[in-house]
Amino acid sequence: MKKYTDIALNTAKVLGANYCDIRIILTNHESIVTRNGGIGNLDKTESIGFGVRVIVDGAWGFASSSVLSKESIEATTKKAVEIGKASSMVIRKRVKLADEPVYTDKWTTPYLIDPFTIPIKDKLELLYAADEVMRKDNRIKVATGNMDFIREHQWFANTEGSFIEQVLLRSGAGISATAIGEDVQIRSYPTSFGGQYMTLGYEMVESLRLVDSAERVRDEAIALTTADECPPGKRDVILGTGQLGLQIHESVGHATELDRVLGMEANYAGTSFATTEKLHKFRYGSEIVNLVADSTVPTGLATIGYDDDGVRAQRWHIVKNGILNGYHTNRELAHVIGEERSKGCNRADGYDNIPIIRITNLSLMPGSWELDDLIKDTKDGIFMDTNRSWSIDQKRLNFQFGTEIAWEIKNGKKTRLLRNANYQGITPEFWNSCDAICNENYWQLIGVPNCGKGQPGQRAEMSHGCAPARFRNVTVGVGHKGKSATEV
Amino acid sequence: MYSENQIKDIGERILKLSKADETEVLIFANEQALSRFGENEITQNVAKDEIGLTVRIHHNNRVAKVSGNKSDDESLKKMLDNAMEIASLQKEDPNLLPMPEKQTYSAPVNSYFESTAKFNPKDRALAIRKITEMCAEKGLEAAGIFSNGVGAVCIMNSKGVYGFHRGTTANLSVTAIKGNNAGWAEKMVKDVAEIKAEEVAEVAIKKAIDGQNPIDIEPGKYTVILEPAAVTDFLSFMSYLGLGALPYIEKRSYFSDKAGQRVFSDNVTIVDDAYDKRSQGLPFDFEGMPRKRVTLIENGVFKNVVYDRKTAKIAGTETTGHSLPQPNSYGPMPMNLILKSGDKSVDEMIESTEKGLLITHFHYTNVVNPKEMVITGMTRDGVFLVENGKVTKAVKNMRFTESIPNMFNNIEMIGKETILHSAFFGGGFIVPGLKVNNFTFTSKTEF
Ligand SMILES: [Zn+2]
Repeated sequence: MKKYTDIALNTAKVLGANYCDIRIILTNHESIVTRNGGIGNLDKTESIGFGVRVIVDGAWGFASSSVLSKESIEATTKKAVEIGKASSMVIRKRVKLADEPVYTDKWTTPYLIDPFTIPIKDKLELLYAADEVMRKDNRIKVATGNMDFIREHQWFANTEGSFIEQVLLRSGAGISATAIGEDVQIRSYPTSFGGQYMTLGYEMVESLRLVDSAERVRDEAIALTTADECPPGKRDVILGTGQLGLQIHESVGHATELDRVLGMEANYAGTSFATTEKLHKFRYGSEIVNLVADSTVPTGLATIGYDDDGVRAQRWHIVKNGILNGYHTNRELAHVIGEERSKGCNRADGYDNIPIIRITNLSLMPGSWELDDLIKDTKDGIFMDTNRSWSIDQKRLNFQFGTEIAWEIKNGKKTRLLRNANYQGITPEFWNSCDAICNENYWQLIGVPNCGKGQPGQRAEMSHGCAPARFRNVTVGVGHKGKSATEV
Repeated sequence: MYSENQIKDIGERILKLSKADETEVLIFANEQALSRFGENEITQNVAKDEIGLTVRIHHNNRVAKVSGNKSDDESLKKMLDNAMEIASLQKEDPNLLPMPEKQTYSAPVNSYFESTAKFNPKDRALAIRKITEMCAEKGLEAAGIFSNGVGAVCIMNSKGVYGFHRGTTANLSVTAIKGNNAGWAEKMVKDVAEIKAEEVAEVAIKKAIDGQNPIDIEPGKYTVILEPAAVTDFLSFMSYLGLGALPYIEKRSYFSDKAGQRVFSDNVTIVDDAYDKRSQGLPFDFEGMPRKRVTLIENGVFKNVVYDRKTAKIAGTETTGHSLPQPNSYGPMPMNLILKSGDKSVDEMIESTEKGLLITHFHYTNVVNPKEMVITGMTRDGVFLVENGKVTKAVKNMRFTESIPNMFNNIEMIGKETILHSAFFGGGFIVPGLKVNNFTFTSKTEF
């Protein structure tokens, strides 16, 4: 591939670019969806292409193509330079990249079983077996199973001399059952919206034991259709990992992407309340809240060797003992907060998009509680798990989440099942109300394979590690039977 | 950009090379460019030129689908071999529908404009420079995008289906920011010549300036004047939660078992119409069937959902030509919804309002309850208090939690101006503004 990457780098230099990088990506994707004993979708995709990014006259230009040839690379590089020159008509400051060592390296996701070597037949049989268990009760009207495997083989080269080859492998799988009675209720396993995703091979799918969980998924979906609605009010809430992961994502992850903080996403994804003058000062959460960004944590969806700026993966605190301690950064913006090196968060969706700052694996560090003790310690609360819906304002303050399942906690005991549970809060108030986190035995990484950001829209993936945690005095049951929370 | 002949040639080669009983080729070709700005300067500037091929085969009553972006014979052969292998590894599907025979399509509306296809990075930069200068002059920061592109869709199958459609779109979106508050305006068109950058910027700038020093008000029920962009979220969520045949048949839709019933205010009529001159105009669906004009809601009465061949067979009716690429687990979906416009201007809506809120648009709207079609989202980039027929103050943002039927049951006025709003799978909705009573806000935020 070096002969191809050299073409772009040399062409850009000749055309006057100060910096150029090229990423060539070969992607293999296998997506399997079963639905009610049949095929919902079954698609095997292989695509290749490259993107060339240049800095010319102090401004960015980028162009991409799916035709990998000398002529196409030259033409695409030329187009990137022309676009960069147009950008330079409207700049106030010249782009300057933070220093990073030059690397020649190859990095591969560690895994045991290459999922692309497992016959489709075996995968379908597994999903059909779970499907059959879920549809044994005719109140389940829709049963789905899902597997998703993506291998990205990337070659990155830049004019500073780095040449980095990476093979990233991501696997995902899950099942869900929809029961229809008085109400429509969905229950899924291991998490919602396609299930669990990790940087692992087929061994992850086997470890999930989808068929063994199908009966519980079915029975919970059916039970939910006749469960009481989550009553409105202020309650203590214990969030299971299937919900807490997304809470971290939306209210801490996006809020600490430095490009958002600086207004570069203002027209679309939004900005952030966590502005730079708050760094090392602002109380984001209670003393026990420690949130660590980590692009090196094993099996994390954002676990990589290098980001798409060619920066090596790192680990750092975003929130330390409750105080805002850092941001997600890239080479272009690190200097704005006085840092000399990027944290390595610049990632692109495929070959045809420019890298932008993305949340990496961002996890809540475990506490010391046993879950049973935490429930025993809760007088009047609700345990909610598995995300069903999410919404948050553009500065990442007012959020509202719904969960698939919930149980009322009365005097230290998990009691009645509740349906349509949701909760609403304001980010710092909420994290400051966190008074108990379960220990490392309950800690798990929850994969988010579908994080959207940027224009044109880009998808990225990351994981959020957490153990169940308790939050005091939270607004729950918003919109219950047409009654607004303000009428409580 | 790939020409129709180049795309057709790829499709024909696939059909010739395939050994399957039936073969379908779906090709998307796209040439897109986008300049992005923030803090009054261009921050990102990108272009892509690409093609995507999807081949679906039916062989011995089994289905397989493969995709790729390489079009040389060797790559195509590899794709087809893969497809045959996937098909062979499956159980037989006794309900597999044969692919459709040759179809004829009505003439599409004009959706390709050379002006848009030829618009270049310098043209975008000139417009953005103007916008950033206008904002800087008023002490505001501009952020946004200017994009333009050409997209082509081609569907062919071994039984004679052939459809090709090409369209252009351009979009200018401007957020003008001062401190914690912002104003926003957007113009999406098929012909870039219709975009007047200064006019779009002026609207955003005015909202940003008027939006300063917002007051705190308590959540609760309000009369709202929703600008067209704020109405789009309600149509988008209704399109996929309720108006496709799959949730309808499975009784997961709000409209299930409600045919012929009055569900909305009697001034509400919603059709799906790819042949309206404002629409994107794709005259066929993704299995090659002609797209029909469908009345979904007529004067508040629920009439119909949209079908593909598979759901039509189950329901004992005919397809309306709304299939997504097959096979899929979503079912058919309307892509060209039109909420019939009324005769009121936004000013008339404001003048008629004793107390209410004027809403620019919503942010991060999502589903709370799919069957009841309850959704929640935040206001954004301009909320204004209307008192005694006049806009009086800016108001801090609030969260609504409201059911779509409740919203459409409380419509007092419908606007005459419409916007084109992009929808799933390359569709576009035509949307007017609305004056709605008893609209529910459930919480507030700090800005
Ligand atoms: Zn996200």
